[in-house]
Amino acid sequence: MVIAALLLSFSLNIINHRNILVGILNTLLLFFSIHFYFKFSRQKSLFIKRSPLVVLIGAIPLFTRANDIFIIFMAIGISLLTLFHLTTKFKKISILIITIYFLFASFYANGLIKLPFSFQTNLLIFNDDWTNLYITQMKAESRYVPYTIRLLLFNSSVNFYVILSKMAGLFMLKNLYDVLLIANIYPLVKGLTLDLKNWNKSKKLLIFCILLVSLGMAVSRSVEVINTFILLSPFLIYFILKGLNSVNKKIYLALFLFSIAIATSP
Amino acid sequence: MFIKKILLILIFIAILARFIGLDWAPPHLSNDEIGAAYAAYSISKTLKDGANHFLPILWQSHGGYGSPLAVYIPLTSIVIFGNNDFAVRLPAAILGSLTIIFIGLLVKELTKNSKLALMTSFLLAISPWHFFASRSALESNYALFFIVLGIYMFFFGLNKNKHWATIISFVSFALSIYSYYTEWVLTPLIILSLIFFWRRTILKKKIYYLAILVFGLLLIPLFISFIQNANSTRATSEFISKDIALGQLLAEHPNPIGKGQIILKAILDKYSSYSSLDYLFFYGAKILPKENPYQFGFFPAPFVIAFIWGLYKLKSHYKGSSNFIYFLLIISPVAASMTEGEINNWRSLPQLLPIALISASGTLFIWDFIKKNYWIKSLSLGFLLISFMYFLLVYFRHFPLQKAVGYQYGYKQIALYVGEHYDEFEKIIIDQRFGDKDYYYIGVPSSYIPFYTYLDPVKVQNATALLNGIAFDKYEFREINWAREKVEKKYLYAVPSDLVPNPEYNLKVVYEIQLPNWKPAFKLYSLAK
Repeated sequence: MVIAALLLSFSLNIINHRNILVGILNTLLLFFSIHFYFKFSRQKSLFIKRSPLVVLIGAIPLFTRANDIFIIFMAIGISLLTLFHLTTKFKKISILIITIYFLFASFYANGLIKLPFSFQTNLLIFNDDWTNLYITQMKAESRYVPYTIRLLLFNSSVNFYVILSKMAGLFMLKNLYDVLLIANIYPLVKGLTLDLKNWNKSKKLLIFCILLVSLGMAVSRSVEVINTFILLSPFLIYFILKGLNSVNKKIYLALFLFSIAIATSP
Repeated sequence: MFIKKILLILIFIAILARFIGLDWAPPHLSNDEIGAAYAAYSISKTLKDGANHFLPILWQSHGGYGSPLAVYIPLTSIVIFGNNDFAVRLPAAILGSLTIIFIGLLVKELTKNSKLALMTSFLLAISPWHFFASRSALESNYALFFIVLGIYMFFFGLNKNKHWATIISFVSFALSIYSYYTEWVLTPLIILSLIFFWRRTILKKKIYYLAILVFGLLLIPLFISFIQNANSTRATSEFISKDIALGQLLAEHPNPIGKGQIILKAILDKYSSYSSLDYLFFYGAKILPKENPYQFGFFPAPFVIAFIWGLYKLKSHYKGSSNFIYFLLIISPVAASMTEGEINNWRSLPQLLPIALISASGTLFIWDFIKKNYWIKSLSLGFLLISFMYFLLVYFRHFPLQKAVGYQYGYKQIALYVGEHYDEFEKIIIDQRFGDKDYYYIGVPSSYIPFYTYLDPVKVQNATALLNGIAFDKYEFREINWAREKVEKKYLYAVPSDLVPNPEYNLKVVYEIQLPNWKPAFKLYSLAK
């Protein structure tokens, strides 16, 4: 079934954009994402290998678009590095490497780094003119407040609030169904719930990785949602496959048909 | 016990704060508020609204028909306290405060957990968006009150077998539909879900059949009025397909299946915006201009964690009722998602109810999880208090300074000046534009002026239409073009500050109105003697 999913993904790539190289890389990313699920969940899940629903994973738009080749490579790197962390004895070093790599990948994906290596500081949210203007204005409007308190209330730390807001906004429904289809939000939520119920230390790695990539996105003023989700694809596929086992098949299929109706909207 | 007392005190303070400075923040009656306020004043004097309709159900507002309770609720306080901002907004503050109390009673009825009930009331009390909504005379706030009251009475009647409570519940649901258009979709869905989830009890009892009959009978006048004005009610004029961009897309695709897909996708996209966490917990209250990073959500941002946790753990508090709350969460943005225009937080006000219930449940879990760590508890409470104080600071200080223009600030001040100098002028000409020269908006001074000057509503009902405006009594409300204006003695001209008259006219400024941030808003000119 996994092979069928990969074939479906490749075929849809060819139909969508006729770029064989991107098609191969997208399919490869899907393969590594599924592989990541098997390794990380440490299960020889027969269900995943036999369930016909798994085939539909190949239709996920994230793996069938004309994505940026370099970002697909980076996403493959993300799944390989996370797998490396699971097997290596040098956990601390691997975490350091993961942190640097993930931040670099996320910055690149969101336009903060241009190749070969040029850091676009003007695209950092800390340099947003509106924010700085309003910090000054809020200070000016609160002249009745003692100066020190005014400084404490209105300063650049407001960017932290903006970052959190952007991170919360990244996982809005529209972003999720644009990249995953509505139907796959159902197993995604199921998978998340199952992992919460069976919480263990290794799950912290997933949360850490997702937060790191989201953080890279949130500090940039030029947000590239699709690119960010490509980087997150191994983790999204992990939760989807985790939840796929416990979804109601009829509901999932009905949602899949609904997703097709929405995705093919003019 | 100590925590319960603290929560009670905080709820009391937050309720009290809803009544302070009602004439200052929001800085001015808004377009919709003045429409309803003037109609209420007009009906209180002549039993007819501004458009000369006798005791209307759907009353004619600027460019459409408004819902009935928007007018009939503030009518009493306007009669008692006169034509002022406090009288117009007082019912909203009262109903907003009652919503806080009834949501607590609802939780107590559903869970028998008084700590959770207090926590929910507390959360709604400190909700920036509910605080804001409770201080504006807008119908969605009234509707939220009737929804909460209706659901509470439903469970009270169900659990205690009180028939009168069941009848009140369905009357309250009907009143919610009389309050705001969002509830036309939402309330029937709530009733259907209540019947579905508690069908085993409900279908056996005759009182529910009677209650539904009462509900249906009460809606007949509204339904008839809707049919009579079907083309101009907001329910039809604000459907998502009226969106300009969407309308163009629909025109390009004549195929009905394609049209259906387009509309479905547009509704889903909007639903996504209304349900996103950044909207609900970071910027949804839209108290300050959208570029300003000092925003507030429906609830303070830290509660996003409590909300997520509450989603997961809701069942342990609400048991059998949890499915109803999940359902409420899913359907509450539906009506708003079906309307055109930008994301409108007034339309999504009902979302406050399920989110408050879920977030309070999560908060209580986190609170119990910390257990006896009083340091963390005190720190959290302190942090929360500081957040709320900070919100009050922004609300009472920065919001009036930064958002006054959007409230058509200045028309009330013009009215107060005109009221004092009414006899000095033969004609008073007021330009309907406001804002600055880069972009003028069109306001409704023709509602503000007669309201604040207590002008006889009969004069407004007999208004004459001008080529570019309207006239009644001494007033003309129209665009003033200085190049073509025939300036006369004893005429008063009110124009946006940027609209400077030709110096040859020898007009002098008799009064100047500034925005709360001291920027000039309007200038009133008259011929120099």
